[in-house]
Amino acid sequence: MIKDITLGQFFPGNSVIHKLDPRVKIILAALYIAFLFVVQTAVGYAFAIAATLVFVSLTKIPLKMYLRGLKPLLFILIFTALLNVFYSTGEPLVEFWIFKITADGIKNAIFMILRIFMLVIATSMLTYTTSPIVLTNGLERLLSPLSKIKVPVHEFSMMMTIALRFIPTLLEETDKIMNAQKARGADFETGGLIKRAKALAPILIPLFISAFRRADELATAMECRCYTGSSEGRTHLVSYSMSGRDVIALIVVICMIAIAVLLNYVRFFGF
Amino acid sequence: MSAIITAENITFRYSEGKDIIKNLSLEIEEGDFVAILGHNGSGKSTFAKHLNAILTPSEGKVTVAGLDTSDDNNLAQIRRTVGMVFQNPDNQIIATVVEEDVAFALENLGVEQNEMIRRVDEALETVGMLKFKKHSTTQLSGGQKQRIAIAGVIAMNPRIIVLDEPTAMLDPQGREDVIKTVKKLNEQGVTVVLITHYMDEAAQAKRVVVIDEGEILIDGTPHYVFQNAGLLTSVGLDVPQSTSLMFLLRRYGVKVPLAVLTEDECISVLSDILTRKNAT
Repeated sequence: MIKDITLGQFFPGNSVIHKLDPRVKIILAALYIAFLFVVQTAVGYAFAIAATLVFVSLTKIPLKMYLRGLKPLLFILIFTALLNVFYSTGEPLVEFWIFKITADGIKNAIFMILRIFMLVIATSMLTYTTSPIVLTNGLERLLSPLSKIKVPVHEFSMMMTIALRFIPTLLEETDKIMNAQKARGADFETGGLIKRAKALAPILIPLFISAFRRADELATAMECRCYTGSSEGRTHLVSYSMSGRDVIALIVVICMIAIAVLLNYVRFFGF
Repeated sequence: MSAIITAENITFRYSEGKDIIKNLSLEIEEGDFVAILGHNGSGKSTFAKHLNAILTPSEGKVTVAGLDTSDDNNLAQIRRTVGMVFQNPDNQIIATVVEEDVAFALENLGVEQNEMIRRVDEALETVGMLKFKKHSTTQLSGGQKQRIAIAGVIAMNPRIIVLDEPTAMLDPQGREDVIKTVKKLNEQGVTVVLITHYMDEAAQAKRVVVIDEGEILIDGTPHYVFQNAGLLTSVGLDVPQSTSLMFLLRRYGVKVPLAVLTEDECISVLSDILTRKNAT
């Protein structure tokens, strides 16, 4: 039961986007976000939507999956839209009591919603097409220059790797402990909030003790395999190299930013 | 053959605790397959931890391939010489992908990438897990995980491999696979030290050392050790099932040899007796 919780939302696949170098993918996601903030005009938004749809279709993951990620954001979306509609300057279209709705307000609201939509889709695209572990590796390689100024990049990535490795193990353990406590008559399902929170203590305490024991054993096992804790002199089994595909992707996204900037100027001169 | 591990009069205690190992001396020959037997709390795991300097003796001295384990400067070399496999496979697998876990030690040692790929494949081949190379480590069975852990150790090309109750958490099939792998390694020239409380596993070693209360109780070939069934049971250990069957048969006056360790030996002894009986 508890094992069924999906972790991250990686969809394994073989698409062009899946095959991109993870370092490049992280940079692309950042550039894409920048692109979305550059876009200002209606034409620009049409262009951005078209581009986003093209990228979504390239991942071969159905659009439905991306939209699912928007559900938890529904409240924020509506809230932002309303704020934009009611609090904007310009000639009011409709006016009642202290509220006035302007054409600008409606336009801003629509733009804002579209922007958030595309932001979520762009970041989902990164996590949907890259496994968490590859993402961690990519991030480590990308940030490795920072270790020169004493940012613990390697330590951070090792922590992430181990955390990802142990999530399923600890979930399984939680399940076992819960069953063991249920067999002893523990009740997790009824009662008020406080009662239920209290019922969790007999799960959390054994879980913590076991996690510490595991950590201790793991540390010993790592030491036995010559781990010294520093990234100095370490090599990697998996190496990433940029291919033509990655270069093309970078050029495409940079061109998109250039076009978006251009479109803003087009409006500026009154076309 | 020469001794690759020597323990000279070692005593070990945690600060202010009682002695867990008492004045123990042991030499292990290069290329040998030694099983260390003992019940829970006998000090056998504590002893195992002395073999690659996880613990260092409170008194006495342990040398591995001529290196003193108490000297911190030797630590890196000792860890490369003695590979260690632990009881719980879940707590010694670091990566989420099989090949990356096997490569972990090599990454730490700074092995060059092509060499690393070759050695990972070789190690996985040895433990019979090559086809699982790209699999996720969490979806494997206990026996498979333990074999991955062994692969991760042998990728370092250690001269000695110490296994601390590697089969205690496995099902019978997993146990058999692991022991088979261990025997194969020994045939390839790796010195094996197997800590266990399973008699039938110990019976497959070349030498058995029984530890009780931190001292060596008996030391010799499996045949020699298991003949002393009375001594073993007195310290809470069993003898292999076939040996105890022989023991019982003897008590009822059947003339059988005592040192029958494996099922196959047992079958041949019994069929011998039965054919003789039918002949008369």
